[in-house]
Amino acid sequence: MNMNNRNMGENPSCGMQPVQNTQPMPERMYAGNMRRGQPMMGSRAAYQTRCGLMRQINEASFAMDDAQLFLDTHPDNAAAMQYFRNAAAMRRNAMDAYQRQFGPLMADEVTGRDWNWVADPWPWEGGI
Amino acid sequence: MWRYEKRLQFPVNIKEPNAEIARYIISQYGGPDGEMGASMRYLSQRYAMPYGEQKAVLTDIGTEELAHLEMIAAIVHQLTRNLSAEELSKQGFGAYYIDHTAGIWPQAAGGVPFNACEFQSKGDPITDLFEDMAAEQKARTTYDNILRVVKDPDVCEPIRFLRKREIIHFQRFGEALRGLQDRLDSRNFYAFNPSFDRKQPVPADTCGGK
Repeated sequence: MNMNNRNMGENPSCGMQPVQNTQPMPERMYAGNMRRGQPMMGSRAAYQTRCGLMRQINEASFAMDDAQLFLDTHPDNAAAMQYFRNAAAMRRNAMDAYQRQFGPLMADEVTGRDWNWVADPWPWEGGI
Repeated sequence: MWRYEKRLQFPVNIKEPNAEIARYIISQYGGPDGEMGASMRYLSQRYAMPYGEQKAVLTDIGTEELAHLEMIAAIVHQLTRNLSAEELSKQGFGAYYIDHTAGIWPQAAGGVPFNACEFQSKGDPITDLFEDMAAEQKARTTYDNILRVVKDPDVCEPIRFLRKREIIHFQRFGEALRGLQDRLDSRNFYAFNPSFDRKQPVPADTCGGK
């Protein structure tokens, strides 16, 4: 299994300039996490923006999705299971951080009295 | 069942509309080797799979293909929005615009509407998994073709992501096929259809009788 997750590549998302650091994000996020087995709490200022938090979600979710497919054909692979669990935990943290500030990504994450599930923008419009 | 997560699997942020390349990219929405065919193929085939590993692979890859379908729609939408009818027509998008304005409708680049003849669900797990491996290669080739004619990095980035995913899916289907064969008699994988035949293989001289 390719643990590097280079599939995410560089992503000049949100209309910003391309990110200078070309190391694939999941690598940076995972360095140290595999040893400690604990998800890293994002604390860099860059990731508190909407784009930054969405990028964390996209990368952790992608790592999880890719590991899921690998586990479907290698269900007994313990290292892959650990990788999946780490990715799932990072995804959960990133989702919580994003949704607290920017609203629901799933309908059952709507909090408060307004049905802000309907709010713009929707994902195909770009900008996030 | 499916729930919807309000984000794209990989971001699509296109600054420059371009209806000319939208004409080509729409083939990965409703074309013969596109994401709609891929998702319908895998999600339809999974019911006849005899073992959990293959059911999981088809369900999970089929689900991911729906996410890719959404990305292709986002690309076509962003390439064709905020253009006038005249601009759409000048960029070669006129025929599609007449019938669909700037809406999204599943068709191939050549105009053939999406249809179920573009995939098969044969009810034989070996056959279906070979179909799936071929499908991923066809999709990869289509992305190669798109990348030769697209220069905008905002478009190339998500297309390159999708192309790499096809290669990974091909790998997984190969592994699923091997896993299935491991459970069959290696002296004759075709002795019976594990999705259909309830008993052990019928001896050839009884012609299917009891």
